[in-house]
Amino acid sequence: MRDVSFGQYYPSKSVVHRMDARIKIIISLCYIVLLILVPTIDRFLDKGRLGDYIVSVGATFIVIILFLLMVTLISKVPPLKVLKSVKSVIFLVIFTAVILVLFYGGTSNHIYFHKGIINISLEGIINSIAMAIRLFLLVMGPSLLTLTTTPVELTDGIESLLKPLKLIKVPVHEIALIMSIALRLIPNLIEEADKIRSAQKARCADFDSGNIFKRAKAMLPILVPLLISSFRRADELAYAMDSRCYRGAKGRTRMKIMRLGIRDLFGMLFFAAMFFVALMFIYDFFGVSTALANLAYSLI
Amino acid sequence: MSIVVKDLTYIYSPGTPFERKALDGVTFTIEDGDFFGIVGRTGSGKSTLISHFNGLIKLMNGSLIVEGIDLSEKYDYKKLRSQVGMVFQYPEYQLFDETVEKDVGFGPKNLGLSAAEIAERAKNAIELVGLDYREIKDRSPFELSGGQMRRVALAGVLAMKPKTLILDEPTAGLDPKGKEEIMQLLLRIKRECPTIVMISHNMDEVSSYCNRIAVLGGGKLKGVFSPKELFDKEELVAEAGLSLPMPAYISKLLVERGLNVSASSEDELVQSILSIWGAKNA
Repeated sequence: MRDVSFGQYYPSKSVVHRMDARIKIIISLCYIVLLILVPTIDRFLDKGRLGDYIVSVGATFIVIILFLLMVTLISKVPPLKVLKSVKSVIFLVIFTAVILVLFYGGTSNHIYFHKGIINISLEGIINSIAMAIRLFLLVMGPSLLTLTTTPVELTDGIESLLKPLKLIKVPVHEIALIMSIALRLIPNLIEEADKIRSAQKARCADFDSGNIFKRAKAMLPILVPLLISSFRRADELAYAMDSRCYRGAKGRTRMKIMRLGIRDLFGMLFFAAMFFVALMFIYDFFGVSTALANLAYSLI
Repeated sequence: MSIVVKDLTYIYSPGTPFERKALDGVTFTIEDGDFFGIVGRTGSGKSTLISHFNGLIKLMNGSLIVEGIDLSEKYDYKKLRSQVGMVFQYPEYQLFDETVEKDVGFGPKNLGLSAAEIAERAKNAIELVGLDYREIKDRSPFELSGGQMRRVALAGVLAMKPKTLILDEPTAGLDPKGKEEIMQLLLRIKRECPTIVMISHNMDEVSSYCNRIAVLGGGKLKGVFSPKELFDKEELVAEAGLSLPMPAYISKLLVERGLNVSASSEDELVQSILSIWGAKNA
């Protein structure tokens, strides 16, 4: 339970860390959009060859991975930390990949095994590998954001970005506050859960054996005390805020005012360049992908 | 011998920038029947040390034998944890079940005992901590007072019938009367569970109840003393972040003013002052 890398800030004074949180959030959103734009194999095979797909998607992934690698190196976050962030989704990815291999239903010209609804083919395997890489990248990008941005900066950034919604009476400040409190309390909750877990273990509680239902039931002696202490903590926090005259967003000023700087411009340009190159490979601008694929075919 | 600690070393997050030595070559023995105190500043390694005693932390370096079980080899967790009861700080925060009886029976149930045996043990444990079994057994643990909740949590550990009981600041957060009650309770428990190990920051408690006291500092063992020996080492007491217990402090002040007084308990202090008083008036 202690290995939750998501939302764990890695302190450093790098350029990436000092960038404006708002810009980093926008970049992360665009990054996610980019990954969604990477086509699955079905969409592609209607008009292109299998090799074209591998080249186009492969090149896109390489561009994105290079981008992640460069940001990681610049930010001075240990690359292992970024890699570790995929730990939480690894089962999901393996599960998805296996399903995709077994039940691939799109066009396929290279079938290895077929029986009933099970259909294993080269296209299916390639598709599932692409999907796995895509999911891993989908987790690594945003975790790089949380590794280089403190939770406070992050919520301030979100609050600032959501400001236009105030016009339609969305309580933006309150939402941001709820988020920052939730983020702030995650480490406390983990610590508390650890303590309660130890206490129940000392009474011979068994959390690691039996089937999934048994295990879920075994979690009850941790969850109930955890829930109760969360309520208690929420109460105490409310009193503490009240006694310091907290009254919501009205008239509240900031100690740290966010300002865009030259480094934000460079960061954006850098991302935009990567974004464009990746799109180029995806949509075959100037026939780059086709040319690359043709080159690959001629070499083979 | 209840617990034999030899050359125990523990490092948190080894091989990372966050590496920290929590315990460094700690060696000592807790005998059967000891009321053993462990004192030291926050972060001196006390909690890490006691978490070793029932296998919540895996042995990293050194050897540890608890109730005859060698923790450096493969051993039976359940057996160890039923022999060594562990009461954490603020144990009332671990209560979870619908009724007091069920909560106290959680440990025995995990040991795989029969329903009759579980009920019997729960009853005995609840009575041992001085609560009215009939009145309290079907109530929810969450509607009890703070002091009662702590007793119920304590009963939950005692229901495992441990031979050694380990407590991390059992009186933290209680008022003076509640503290006294818990300490008296521990004396009563000691008749059934002969060895008690207790972390404490309260020097009065340690000096009046413990027969031996281990002082930890920066993960190292500074020594194991009787209360009297410890209070003669003023520097060590200060280094452990403690103040002298009241009788020892008063007698120290009296000695500084030229009186020949030596006392570690209230009774001794009163006696020695009275005898000086008597000699003066005779």
